[in-house]
Amino acid sequence: MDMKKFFKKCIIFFVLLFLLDMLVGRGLLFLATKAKGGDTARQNNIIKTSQDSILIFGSSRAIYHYNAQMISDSLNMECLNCGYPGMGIIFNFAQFELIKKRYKPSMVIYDVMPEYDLYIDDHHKYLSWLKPYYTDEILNVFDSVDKKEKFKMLSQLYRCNSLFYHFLLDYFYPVKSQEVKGFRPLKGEMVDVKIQNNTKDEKTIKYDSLKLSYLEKLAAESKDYTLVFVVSPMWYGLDPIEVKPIIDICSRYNLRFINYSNDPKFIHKNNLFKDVGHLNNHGANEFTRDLIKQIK
Amino acid sequence: MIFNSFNFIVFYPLLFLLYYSIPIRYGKLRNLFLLLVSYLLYIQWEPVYALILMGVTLVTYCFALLISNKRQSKCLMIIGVLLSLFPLTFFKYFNFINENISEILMMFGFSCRLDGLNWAIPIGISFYTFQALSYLLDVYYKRQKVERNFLHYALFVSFFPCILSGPINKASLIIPQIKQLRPYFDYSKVIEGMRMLLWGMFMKVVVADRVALYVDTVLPHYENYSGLTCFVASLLYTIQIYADFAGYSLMAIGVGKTLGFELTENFRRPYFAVSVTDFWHRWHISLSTWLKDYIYIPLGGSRCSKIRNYWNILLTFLVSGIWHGANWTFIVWGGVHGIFQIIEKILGQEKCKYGSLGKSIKIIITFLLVNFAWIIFRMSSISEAWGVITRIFNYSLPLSLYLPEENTTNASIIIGLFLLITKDIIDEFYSVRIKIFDNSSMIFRWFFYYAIIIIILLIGVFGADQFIYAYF
Repeated sequence: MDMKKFFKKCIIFFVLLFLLDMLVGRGLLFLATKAKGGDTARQNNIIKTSQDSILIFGSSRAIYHYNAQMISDSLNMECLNCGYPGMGIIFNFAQFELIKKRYKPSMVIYDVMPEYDLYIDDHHKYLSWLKPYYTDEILNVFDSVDKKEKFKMLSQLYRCNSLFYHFLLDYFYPVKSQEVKGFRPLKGEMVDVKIQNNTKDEKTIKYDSLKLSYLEKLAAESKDYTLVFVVSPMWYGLDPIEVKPIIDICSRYNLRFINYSNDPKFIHKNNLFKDVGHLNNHGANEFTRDLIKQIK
Repeated sequence: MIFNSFNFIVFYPLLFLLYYSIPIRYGKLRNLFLLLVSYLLYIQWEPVYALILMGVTLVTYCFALLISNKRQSKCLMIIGVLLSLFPLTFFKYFNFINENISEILMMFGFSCRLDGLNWAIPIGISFYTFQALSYLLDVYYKRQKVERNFLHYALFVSFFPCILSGPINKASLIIPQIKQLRPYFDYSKVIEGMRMLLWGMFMKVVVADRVALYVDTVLPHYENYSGLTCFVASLLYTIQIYADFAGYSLMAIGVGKTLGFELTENFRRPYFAVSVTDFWHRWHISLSTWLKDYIYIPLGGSRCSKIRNYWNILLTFLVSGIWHGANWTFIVWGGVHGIFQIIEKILGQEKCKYGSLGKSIKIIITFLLVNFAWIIFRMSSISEAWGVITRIFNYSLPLSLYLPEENTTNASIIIGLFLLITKDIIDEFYSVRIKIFDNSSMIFRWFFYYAIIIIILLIGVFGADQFIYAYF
């Protein structure tokens, strides 16, 4: 009798849970599609409506470093900064696949950040902003991270994991963005930080095979557009050994690799940086100007 | 089995159904089923390490039998303990011992360095070794009758909910439950077990793994952040390790309950402790009980001179530190806790003799002391721990607080902490008046279950696949 009662209640509980999942999850996803500002509207624009000829991908270093309006004005081609904080090649590759479904850009600039694009870490975090846009085009990306993701994606609430706050805010209280064409200028300058030795021992560096495979795929599929890999300036510099795989890929596919990480114009210059990893507005404009001269 | 994994959500209902499909008259078959499942789950980590689990089980089983039959049992007990501790010492401490001996020899001009081991530590070895040892020692001290049924004993040592990260159960609690015909299906126990699973899952994926994102950004690069940021990161680590470990323990106890077993309580809202002594009556209760019964009391406990008693406390907590890991940080952390308790004993501050204001002050002081000790525990070296502590107290640094750009992280941390702290306050101070999980209204209970599940799905960090204490 106890067991029958238990199973009866379980069935009712899970049926109601399924309905709640559908209701709340689909409700949040609906709000996401109607976002009036913030990151949600930004992502909607990048993935669903943009038609820009030049696309910039990368992490926070992309979003804060590349002045897309400056690039547009100099090269007479519309440019959109698609960078997102904390995101690497797994996310950017999938995002680009969704964009390519609609149109092909003329140029792609990929800002490389070893931590997110080359080193081993947990891949699940790179799927967060892809979940609301989950379609067949990026099913293989989800599969490559975790074969169980396709089962988890059956839950509508799970598709809003880590993003529900954005969906609610960007619909009900959209923040007027400071960004222009996706570029977010950072204000302020760095305070003094201890200069550290950045020399790395090649034997201790562990590259992520999945990330390398996506970098390779991005390079291999770049026949119809110009692909440029860039390492934007870093306050503390970067041991070139860390980006060796990118150099190898560029060499194999005859692509440009532009490395500003040890540029003396930027290295250890507090007035050009907001913090050790990010240029401020002044630094970003200086860097963008220099980059434009190189890619023109 | 990792309780917050997708595999668990798929696999466990199946295991549950199979277990309860075995008729009650085949009680032995149920135990055999659990034993097989426990070993199969253990083998999926690293098959060869199941041999070590079996080895420790066999050694303690055989030596317990020998001890119970012989008069001169002390020698047998010592051999049994040493043999049982050998795998733990070898896998966990070989590199640490090797490095430290080499450094000492080098100080005297001798160069003798053995190659370190590059083997993974068998998962759960600290836990099941201590659990098996507790049985052996209880048989020696005649607190436990020897268990002649090997299958029952093997199940006690390898019981899958506890093997990864405890609780460390006493044989006197578990073996009678294995031997007796447990009720075929205890509805209220199963429901209570599922509630524990749910809340434990919340603690792990919503609180622990979410605050870990902040802690893991700041503490490894503490020199790039302000003292205030380092302090906030230390507070969040204090929450992280509690939510991670207590969350896991709750899930383990919950899984045990759904199968009809009562396991040892392991956490009792430790950050409401009024002293560090009280903290250890609430934190990792199964380990502190083990240390009290098999280290502290055999050393003499408090039935000796004051100086000897203080020494016993210090030694017990140095052992606790060593148990946690092969690094000087853990040993110093254990020593610091020992010293705090000695000071409390000298000042007569183990308990709270004050009113509510005094109690609140004591709770805050204890929390801060424990928090600073956790810094030593978290960092990978003493010098780094010292670096974090001095940075926190460096008032010349700007008073800026690092906030992640990702607003969801900030909001999620606040929501998770609010719910966890609120529930703990209710359970600690208002448990009679306010009922949440065991509220008499089914609508209220189900509303709470659904709210927690929705929060887990919306805020939970999925993909983090390990518990902090699984490393021990």
